Order: sequence, then C-alpha cells, then structure tokens
Amino acid sequence: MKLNFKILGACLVAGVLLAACSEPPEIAAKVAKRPDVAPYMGADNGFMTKGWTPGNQESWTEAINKRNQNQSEYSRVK
Amino acid sequence: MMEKSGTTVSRWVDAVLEKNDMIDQQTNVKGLFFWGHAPNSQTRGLDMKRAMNKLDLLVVVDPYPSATAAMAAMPPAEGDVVNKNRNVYLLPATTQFETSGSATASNRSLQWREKVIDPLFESVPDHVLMQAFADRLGFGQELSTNYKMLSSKFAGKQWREPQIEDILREINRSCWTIGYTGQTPERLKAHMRMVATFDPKTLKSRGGVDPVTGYDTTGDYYGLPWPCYGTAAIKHPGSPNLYDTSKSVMEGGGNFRANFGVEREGKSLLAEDGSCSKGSAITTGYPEFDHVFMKKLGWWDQLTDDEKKLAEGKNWKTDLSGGIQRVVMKNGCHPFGNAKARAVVWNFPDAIPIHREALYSTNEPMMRKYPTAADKKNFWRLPTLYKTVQDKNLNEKLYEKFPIILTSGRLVEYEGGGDETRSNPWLAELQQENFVEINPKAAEARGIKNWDYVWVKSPTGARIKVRALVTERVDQGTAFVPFHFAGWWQGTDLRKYYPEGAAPIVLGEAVNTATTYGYDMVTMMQETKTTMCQIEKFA
Amino acid sequence: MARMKFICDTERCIECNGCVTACKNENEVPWGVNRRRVVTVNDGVIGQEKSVSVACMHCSDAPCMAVCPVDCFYRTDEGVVLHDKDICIGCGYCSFACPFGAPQFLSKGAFGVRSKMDKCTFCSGGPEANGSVAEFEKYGRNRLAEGKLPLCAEMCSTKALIGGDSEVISSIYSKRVAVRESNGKYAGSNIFGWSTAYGPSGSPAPTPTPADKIPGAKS
Repeated sequence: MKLNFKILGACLVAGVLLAACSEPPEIAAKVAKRPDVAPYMGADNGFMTKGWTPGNQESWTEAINKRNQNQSEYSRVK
Repeated sequence: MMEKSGTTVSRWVDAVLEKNDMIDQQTNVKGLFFWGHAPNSQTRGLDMKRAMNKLDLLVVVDPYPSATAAMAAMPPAEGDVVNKNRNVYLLPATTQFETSGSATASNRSLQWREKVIDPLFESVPDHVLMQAFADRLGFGQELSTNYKMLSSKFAGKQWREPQIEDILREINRSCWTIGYTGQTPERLKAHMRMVATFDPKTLKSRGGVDPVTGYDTTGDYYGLPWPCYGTAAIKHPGSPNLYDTSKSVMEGGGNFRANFGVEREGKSLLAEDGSCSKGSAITTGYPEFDHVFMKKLGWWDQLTDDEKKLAEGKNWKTDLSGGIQRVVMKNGCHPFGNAKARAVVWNFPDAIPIHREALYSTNEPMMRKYPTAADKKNFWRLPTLYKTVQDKNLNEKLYEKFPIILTSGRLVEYEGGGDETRSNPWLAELQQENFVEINPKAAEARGIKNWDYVWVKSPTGARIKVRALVTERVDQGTAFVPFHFAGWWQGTDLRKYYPEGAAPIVLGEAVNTATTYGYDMVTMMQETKTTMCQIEKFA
Repeated sequence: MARMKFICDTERCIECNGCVTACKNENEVPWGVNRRRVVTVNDGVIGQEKSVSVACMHCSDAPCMAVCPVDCFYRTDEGVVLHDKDICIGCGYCSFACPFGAPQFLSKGAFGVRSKMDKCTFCSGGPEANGSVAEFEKYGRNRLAEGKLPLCAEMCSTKALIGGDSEVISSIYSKRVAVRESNGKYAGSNIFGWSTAYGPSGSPAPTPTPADKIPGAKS
C-alpha cells in the first residue's frame, strides 16, 4: 500500500505539472484569434460601392483594380 | 458718402481712432461687423485692440466666434479704457455645409454647393441674417425685390429666406462686364451632376447630356469660368484662359479689352497688326460696343425686336437683354473691344513700376537709393503716411535695433485667421504651437536652440512669444512667422476670454499683433510680408 | 490573390499632410497616435528637400508579428498585416521591432502603462464583422470591404502616395517613371528613396568610421 501511495502521489504530481503545459479549453477558445472576414465578402453598412458582387472574390478584385486606376492621372487625362 | 471710395478693411482701425478732422467723412466709424472675418489677419494688432475698445457696436457673424470675441473681451492695455457704451454681439452663422449656393474658385470657375447637413446649434445662414438685418433697418423689401421669399426654420424660429438660386440669378442679370451672366443655377447644377464628363487638364466637357434636365454639356468648360458672356440661352462655354486669340469668342477665346479709350497722345490704343480673336468679323482693333457702333456696322437689325427695346441707347454693359453681346459674339467680335494691353499705366503714381524700398526695411542704403513715396493727405478717406514713416526708420536707426526682416505667411494645415482650422483635431495635432523660423547662424548668435521660447519684438513696442524653429529655410537676415494663430497676447493665454467651450484646440500668438504700418500706393493693401524685428531668447 | 502595398513617390510628395489628415478623419484616430506620418529630409535645403509618407509597410515577413508574445497578429489573403486588439496586451514589443514606427500606443495610465496597440490597417479593419460598429470603434474604417482603397492613397493631392495591389501600383508607378524619363526629368525610380538618402546608384559604398574617431572604440 505504501508503494502504491508513493507511485500514485508521483503520478498525481506529474499529472498536475503536465496539465499546466496546455490551457483548459475555455481559456484557449477566448485567446485564439477570431477568424477575420475577407473583404470580398462585403460590408453590410450601406457604404459599399456598386458594380461588384459581395462574396465573389474575382468581381471584388476586378472592381478594386479598376478603382486603383483613379490614382493615376493618365487614366483621366487624354 | 456713397459716391466716393470707402475705407478699406486694412485701415478700419484708423477710421475709428484717427482725429475726426483728418478723415474724409462726417463722423468716425463707431460700429463694425466682422462678418466671416478674422482680426488677426490685419496688421497693427496693438492699434486694433485700442480701436475695438473704442467702438459703440461690434458684431461678429461667424461659425466660430473667432479671436475677435477674445480680443474684444480681454482687458485694455495700460492707460487705455473700454468704451462704457460698447456692445459686442456674437451671431452664429452656418458653415458652407449647412446651406447651399454657388461658389467661385480662383481659376474663375463656379460650382454649386449642396447642403450636406442641417444647421447645427442655433446657426443661421448668412443670406437669412442679412435679410433679417435689412428688414429691421427698413430696406428689406428693396433688398429682395427680385427674389422669391421662403419661410424657413432656423434656431427654433421662422425666418424670411431669399431663395438662394434667385440671388445668383440677380447677379446673372446685372454683371455683364465681367461675364457673370451665363452661369445660371441650372447650368451649374448640371455641371455638378456631370462632373465626370469634364477633362481634368483642359476643363472641357467630352460631351454628355444631363439626364435630370436634358442639358447638353458639349462645348462647356467646367464651372463656366467667367467671363461667360450673354444670357444662358446663347450657351457661352466660359473662358478657360483669358485673352486667348487662338479661339473664337464663342469658344471661350478673347483679346485685350479696350478699357482706356481709343487713343492717347496721338497714338491708337486699339489693337494693330491684325491681332484679333479667331474668326472675328473685324480684324483690326475696335472699341467697345454700344448701340451707335452696332448701327454703324449694320448689325443693329440682327437684334430681335424684344432685344432692340432694351438695347436702344445702351452699350454692352447696360443692355439688360444681352442682345448686343449676343450679336457681337455671333460676328466673332468681343463686346469689350479689341485693344493693346496697357503696360504704361498713366493714372498710377508710378506709370511703370519702380522699386521703392519698404518703410520698415532693414537695408539702409536701399532706402536711400530707392525711397518710398510722399505722404498722402486723403487716400481712401484717410491720411496715409509713407515718407514720414521711412524717415523715422532712417533717423532713429530702427534698422539697427530690429535687424531681421520679418515676413509672415501660410501653413498648409491652417487657413486664414485659423480659428476654424485650429478647432479641427486632426489639423491641430499637426501644428500645435506658433513658431518663428530663424536661421541657424542667427540663432547661434542669440543663444537660441531649436524649440526654445523666444520673444519676437517689433518697432511698435509689441512682443510675441513663440517657439524658435531653427532651420535653413530662411537666411540669416530673415525670419518667418505663420499668421494663422491667435489666442495668446504678448505672452498671455487668452483662453478664458473665449466663449465657454468655444475656444479652438490650439492657441498661439498672432504675428499681426506685432506687425507695422505700411500700405500700397494704389490699393491700400497692408504690408504683411516685409517688416522688421529683433528676436531674443525668452528668459 | 492581391498583395496590398503602398508606394510613395518622393519626387511628388509635397508634405501637405493630406494623407495624415485623411487617415485621422476616416479612422477617428485619437490624439497621440499617428498611423501615417510624413517624414522630410534636408528640410530647407534647396533642391535636396524630399518628403515621404510612411505608415505600416505590411511586410511579407513582419517583425511585429514575429515578436508578439501573445501572437495577436495575422496576415490576410490580401497581404495586409492586422492584429486582434482583444488579445493585445500592450507590451510594446512590436513597436520596438518595427523599423518604421508603425505600431503605436497611447500612454494611458501611471507607470507608462500602454493602451492596446494601434496601427495602419490598410483601411481593412480587423477581426470583427466587416463594416460593423464594433470594427469601426476598435480598428477604424474597413474600406476594402466596401470596395474601396485606403483613403490616404485615394486622397493624395499629387498622387505621390498610391496604394493597392502591388502589380497594379507598380505599373502605375513605372509608367510615371517612363514619362518623366522621356521628358528628361529625374525619374526617381528608386521607389523607397534609397538613392535620395544614400546617393544615386554608382555612389561609393559607405566607409566605416576609423576607430580613432570613435570615443572608447578598440582598434
């Protein structure tokens, strides 16, 4: 019985020590980064530009690249 | 009183303070409106404070009570008193976003501004306030005789509001000489809706019809830059560049105006050598057009019967039908004539500009070689000094006591008197304190390190407390101070004199507290770019 | 997939601070935090004064991300480096690591306690619902999700600052460089101004300062 207690005690101690190596699931869930929503999903706030489909990555990319040309005056001056 | 040139804003202070027998009107100025104007943009701040103390009435109309409120409220200088009868009023005006109307840019284009938000707090638009004053002073009917009147709610009350489009229409009916007649509210609003059709480099429309009104923008220049001659019906496109003979007048071209007569001292003032705008029916120089000239040319019958009724006995400036302008331009000619540019201005004190050294110059040999003009006894109603002031500089050797040229100018972050822009948190963070730009050698000689507080002193006896910005931007003999700051007075913070909660975020010394006397010989424009100072480390 | 970047053309930047003001206004950034700054070198020296607008570079191998002890950073598919303010502990490591001064803090409390880190988000918000009030309050505007590009680049008065997909902005910039070259002007093709700061290509390499000129150095 004495031997059992010692081994049991050692196991308990080891178990407690090892348990600190990984967080309990509730805390882990809180600190994990929340997944972010991609921009091509759109923003439901009434300020979206028109001409592309929220959810469709290609149409968003195309619209953004087209809008980017406004930053070059060569696109407006002939 | 009404027929002679008035007192300029640069000299209002002297119209208040000057001895009554020296001014060219019966009484001194006793009441003043600061309508969308800042006090710290005028020179001679010490004199301005004395003038503010003396007034019977001071009214400030502004979205931001501005430094005027604080400057009026602060205690007088030692030995001076505030007029017991003085009343100061602050009237909150709306900003451009809380009302609509036309606005003209410095490239001469007009745009139509729409209202973006309803007026905040108790603010009232300027045109409504003006109407209210006119009503109470007994000429409200006359002021708005051509306007549709609305009843609008501002600050919890009903006000009589002139319909703002009608105000521009009245200008369209009257400003024939500068071509402010073609820019009707309808054409301008169509331009605003169709802004994408205008080329940003040439300002010309690439063609397009406004879906709301069916107005075709083809041929127009953005904002119909004045001169835009004739009525809207003839669709003058505006003038993107002045005096451009490569275009015909109805395409926005032009030539120099025959404004000074047709000949002088035996020489013709009209254009010669075939210089005229493209497609002009008359290829030599010609005078301004009137009904006589039209009849001589045989163009009179090109006017319609209705136009003839209004144009009879008139010239291109006074013909309310616009018919003379229409027919003249149809024939490719310019209503104001075709003359040579005038390079010798015989009615100015200096017919050709000659150099005259500034009154408060730091350069003694230059003052002796290129002296200023004689004093004027009566100029824009006031005695105006030149030689007396420069002689004082020379005799008292002020240029030795104040050896650094002080110039004032702009910062990108702020605008004008600065109360509005210094109340904007984003801009205020970028320029938090007023400063003087001083050359490293000049700073070294005075024991001044970068960002030390210094006194900038001027011959008026004023001194302003600013930070020293030690930089190569200025040479050893020059210093620069921005003019946008107000709210400190010779080292004292005036924040407690601003209306509660209405002081801007950033306050600072106004450079014009220390600037000096000096005015242009023709326009009475104040000298803000050249005076003298001494800079000392703040102890 | 986009790779979002900024280019600031030092030949055109006029130090107007329009980009700084646009960012402040659009994201309501508090006093003391400057997501975007304009840096000027050789101020006042004629012909040599140059300015450049700097915010977060959204680095491919971001040092801020590498050092963060709570791993609050992430990189979106568009190449934008963002972080989660709910996890951020305000330790300041990212600020020390970043060579551009992008991560910033308000000093909020006693003993120099910092707020959550704040920095340029390429106007794409953070890990909250796109365009939501929570996202605006924590991270500012999410313009990418609205189909727009960062306001600083869209508002640049001289088009010195351009922002967007690196392929697109590189082509805009090279076209501009080609036009300048064909006009006989200095092309300014070293995008990040290396030649402006360190001399044009062909300049001799810097020589180390001799030890006898460095106090306390051992030769």
